[in-house]
Amino acid sequence: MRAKPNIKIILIVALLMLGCYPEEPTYVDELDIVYTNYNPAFDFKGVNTFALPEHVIKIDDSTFFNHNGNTEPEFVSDLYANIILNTIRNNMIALGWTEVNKNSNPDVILLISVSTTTTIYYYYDWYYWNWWYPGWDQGWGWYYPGYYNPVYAGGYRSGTLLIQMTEDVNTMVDKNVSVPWVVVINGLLEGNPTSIESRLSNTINQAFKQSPYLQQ
Amino acid sequence: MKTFFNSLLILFSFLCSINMQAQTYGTLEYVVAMPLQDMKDYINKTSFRGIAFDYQHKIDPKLSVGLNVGLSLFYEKKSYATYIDGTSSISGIQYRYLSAIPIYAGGIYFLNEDTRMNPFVGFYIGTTYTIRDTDMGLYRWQEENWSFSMRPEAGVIFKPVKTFAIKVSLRYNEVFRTESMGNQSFLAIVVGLVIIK
Repeated sequence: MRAKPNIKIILIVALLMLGCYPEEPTYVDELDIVYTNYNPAFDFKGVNTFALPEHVIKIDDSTFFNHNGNTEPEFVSDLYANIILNTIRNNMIALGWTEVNKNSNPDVILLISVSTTTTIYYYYDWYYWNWWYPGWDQGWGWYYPGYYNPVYAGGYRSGTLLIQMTEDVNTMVDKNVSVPWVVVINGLLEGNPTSIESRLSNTINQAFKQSPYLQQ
Repeated sequence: MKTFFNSLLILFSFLCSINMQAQTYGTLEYVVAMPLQDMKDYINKTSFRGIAFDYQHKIDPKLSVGLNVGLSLFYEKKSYATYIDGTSSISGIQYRYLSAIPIYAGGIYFLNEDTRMNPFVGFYIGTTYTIRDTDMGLYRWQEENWSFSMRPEAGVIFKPVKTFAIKVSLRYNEVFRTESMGNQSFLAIVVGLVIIK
């Protein structure tokens, strides 16, 4: 008598295996990532003062053209901007830095932008900042000495918070302002305002926590 | 992966339908795999999602030669952590997935000629295709690798009737290091349904 494969047993084994699918992220904060990078040649302990803008700018897919520096870009709502700016300010001060006015020759200036596009560009246009940056001149750009540019990434319905620490403009090379420290925080644009506020402050705190070289 | 499972089932059914003169063993195997060595550094959780097909052709009352193809899926969710690479640091929760596809040729030596309970030892040589996917945030990093591999095995076949048996065995898959990936070895416990012709 010829034995036939027991189809029922084969199907049960196959279903059991296919049923054991691995766990996937349940909460949006499980998708939040915090990336930091720095210029190892920059003497963070040799500087102390910083300036922060009063707004967080919003970068979108449309072209922003502002040759003369008179047009302001779109800003992030005050609710979120205040959380972002205050969390950065508190961390900097806790690390021993001193906040000064942008016109008081700060050692570093922190530029904060939020991108809600489906792609993140590490090199968005300087025109976004020429309304505020002290001493701005046409043709300026950024460069990241000693390390690679922040990651280029693509995502779906994701938001990115970019923090650039720019060095004193007197150290510019070929009209490029040095960025000795950069932060990229990326996550899904989902959740209620309370949850977003909490995720913003947690991830910004994490950026400082994983950058011990900022300690004065 | 579902396609791969389906292909194995179709292959199993096809080979079981072939009528051969010599005795042949077609086995559908359920594989539980435990990571070892460098694989353990990447994923340290036992895989309960493994399947393989083994085909053996007896060339002697105590010796058979054949092929074995399988798939084991490993997975681990890592706790929130910071990963440092040079001057850059990245923090988040990583979801790690590893698929190991061993493809082997080898032989089995049965300790007895044809008894109801027949212990055996086997040895296979082949290759293992490994795919590692690391998900962090909304992004995925993928690595692929082909490695030379070999596999000693020891087990027992219980044959209640002439045409059907149950196989239980322990396998050690030595998946050698390459330039792009470390040693991806794993230990496996196998339970198989054997069709004998």
